[in-house]
Amino acid sequence: MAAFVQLQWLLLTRSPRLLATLFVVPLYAVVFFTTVRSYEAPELAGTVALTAFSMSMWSQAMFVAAEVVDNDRWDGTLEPSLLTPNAYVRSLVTRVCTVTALSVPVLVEVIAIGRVGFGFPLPVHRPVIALTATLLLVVGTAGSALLVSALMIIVPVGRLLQNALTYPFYILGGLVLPVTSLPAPVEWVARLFFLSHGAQLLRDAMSGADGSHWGDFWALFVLSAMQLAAGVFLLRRALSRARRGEARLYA
Amino acid sequence: MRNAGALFHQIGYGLLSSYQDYRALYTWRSWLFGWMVRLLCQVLFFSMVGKAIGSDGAQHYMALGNAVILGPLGALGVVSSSVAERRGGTLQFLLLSRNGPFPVLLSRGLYWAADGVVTSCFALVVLRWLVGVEISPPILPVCFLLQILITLSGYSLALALAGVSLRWPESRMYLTAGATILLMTIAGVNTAPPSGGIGGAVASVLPATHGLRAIRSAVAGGGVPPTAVLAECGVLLLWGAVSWLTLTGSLRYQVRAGALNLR
Repeated sequence: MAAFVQLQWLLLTRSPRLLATLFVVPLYAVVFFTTVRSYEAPELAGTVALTAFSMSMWSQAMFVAAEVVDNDRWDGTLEPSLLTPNAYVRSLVTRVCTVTALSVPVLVEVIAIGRVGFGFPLPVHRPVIALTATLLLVVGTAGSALLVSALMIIVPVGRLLQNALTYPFYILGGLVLPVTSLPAPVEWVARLFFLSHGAQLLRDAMSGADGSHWGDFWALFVLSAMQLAAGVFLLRRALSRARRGEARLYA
Repeated sequence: MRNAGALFHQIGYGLLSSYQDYRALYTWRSWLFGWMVRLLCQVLFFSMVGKAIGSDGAQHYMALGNAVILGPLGALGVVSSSVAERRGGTLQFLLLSRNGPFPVLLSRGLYWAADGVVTSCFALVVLRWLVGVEISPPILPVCFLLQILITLSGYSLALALAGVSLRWPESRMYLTAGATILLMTIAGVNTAPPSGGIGGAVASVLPATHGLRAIRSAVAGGGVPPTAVLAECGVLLLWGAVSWLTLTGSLRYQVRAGALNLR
């Protein structure tokens, strides 16, 4: 497993473009902080900082992590890897999780932007909850990336998919407004999406909101695990289709 | 005269290939249910920040701004598609055209601007149902015309950036992201643009700052201020000139260095 992490690390450091999302997306924090400051609503600074963080993690998963398989396809290493399908799936899961986990420091990055650049205090009142929620979010988000990487093998519009799966999911994840403010049918869907519970937990951890967090915590845990399982399952199927020659390896 | 004929011929073929590229990108279903839904969600998402602030005014301001900015943001796609030209090995053929590379590259990427115009106008029409921003039907055509102007000036900025990233391909992502953040922060999309200082000076040469002011005024029933339209035309011409410089300059360098093809 360490070898898989090491491989992905080598790939990333040799092609810094893959880390660009981590520098670029947090800049949305600048857009949000400027807005919040000019409307004199400093109480929203924490929420929008977390919004920028979640957006970064999700973009890193969709635009970098989900491309792991596609990159192998272009590099021509996919076919030989298919000779050992089980090891390859393990390798992909580890690599996708590694890439997604690299977005964790962005939380510190956006808080620093807010504190230094805009003078918002941005305290984290419950660091343990914040850390646990962040780690579970990495699992769920990596699961989504695996799902997308599988879809990129199966369907021809994979690239469009990456782009289309951003903002609709930011709304479903309740990144700005809690999902309770969404229309009822959309709210039900949003509640089945791990990101909505993660975003809520992060907001509570930051504001130090009282009350029990176990409901959101368990929902996040179960839904993230399910997301990861679904991602692994679909990727396995996509790769076995590729092995049987039923999927185009060169688009 | 023959030269002018050749120029039209060239631009015509550029547009044709641009149209074919666009058709390869989407089907009408993936465009409508994938791309368009995503863009409308983008408008909705940013207007939610306004809702979180707790004022209808802020929400409507952001919704309108984000609908309009879809045009210039969409036009930025030409930066990566121009670099893809170099990666794909097609750039060297485009350079053979007799009026120089500028008209070809300009017309080849025009589908990004066309897509930007269509998507942002679509967003303006549905804003009423999406967020409750009422744009009265007689005003809509005016908004569409302004939207074309704003998107074209965004496109000319994008071409200027494309010139830079043809020279340094790895810069494309940072340039588009930088332009996006700058437009979203100071062009008057979410908050009023800064009126003085460096911020104000930069905002005044950004695409969309003046055009957006004109659209806001038209939507509010105050008519279209001619100064804003003129200023937006000026921005279009300014970035058009810069893009001519960067594109021809960087391609001349590439030819001399023998580094046209990235493969």
